[in-house]
Amino acid sequence: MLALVSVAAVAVVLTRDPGRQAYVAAGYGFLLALLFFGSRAPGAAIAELIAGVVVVPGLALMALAKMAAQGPAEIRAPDPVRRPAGKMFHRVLFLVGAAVCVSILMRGISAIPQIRPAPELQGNPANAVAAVAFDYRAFDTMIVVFILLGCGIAVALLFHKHPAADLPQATVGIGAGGYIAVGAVGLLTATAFLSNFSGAFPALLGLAVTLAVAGGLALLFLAFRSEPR
Amino acid sequence: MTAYAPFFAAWLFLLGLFGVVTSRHWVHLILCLTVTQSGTYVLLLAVAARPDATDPLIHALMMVDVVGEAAIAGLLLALAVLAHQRSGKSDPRHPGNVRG
Repeated sequence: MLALVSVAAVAVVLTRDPGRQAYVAAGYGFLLALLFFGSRAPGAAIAELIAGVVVVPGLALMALAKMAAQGPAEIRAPDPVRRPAGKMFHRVLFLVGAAVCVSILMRGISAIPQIRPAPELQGNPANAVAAVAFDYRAFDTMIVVFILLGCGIAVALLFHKHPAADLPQATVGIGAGGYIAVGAVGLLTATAFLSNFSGAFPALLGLAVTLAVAGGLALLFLAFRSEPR
Repeated sequence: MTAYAPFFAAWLFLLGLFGVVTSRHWVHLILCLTVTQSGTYVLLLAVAARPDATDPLIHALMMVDVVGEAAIAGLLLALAVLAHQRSGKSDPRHPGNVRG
């Protein structure tokens, strides 16, 4: 299986036409998912099926379609550099926001050793898997939600700043649906945290996730509203 | 499988890196980057494998890795679309009027 994956990786890299390469990459993702299933990692296999077979090749094809719609290599005049008065202020705001996010994550990472399974699960080998699934897993799902929201907000900001994003409405709709699903997962995670662990730290994290979800949805709504059509 | 897995991981990493370096299209480059990242999956699989069982915690890390890959690929593809929009070019070797 590993050898098969290695050969498929060669095919992905050597397929020079990006349109065809997206399909080859989807096949490669499917092989990886099979490898994960075979190695008794079904959760990672499902994630790989979604991310590697559907999402990444689909996004690549969408990006190619967008590039094709933008036309061939006609040189456009570079955008006039805008220098709004509050640029320095924006930079400082960005740095402060980044520092706050990083410190929250660092605080979370330093808290990992203190995370313990709920008392009724401790010392019960039959429930070891449940302990992993609902306690440690909740923590790392939260980090996943942070990464997803960060990238999503960045994309929304990019296309908001450059409002030439004449993406089809369906694409934006799918994006919004995905965001709402991720937001629901984030809220569930926060709830699991609040019910399993007591103390100010999980409450803070739950609040941060909820705020991030709300902010992401608001930003997406903004990007959706600012469509030129 | 476990004994050879690090070599397969290194192979995938170097292969993806080769694709990135020799790439002539932004989208091709990003898909090669996902191949590079899949080397870490194989490495984590090898770390998680035990003689009698597997370590679910490391599988959870793999899930984070997979989801992070999708998110970062999406972000990079959006940047590629914007770079193409600005310069009309899709070749990383000749980025046109797009500057770092």
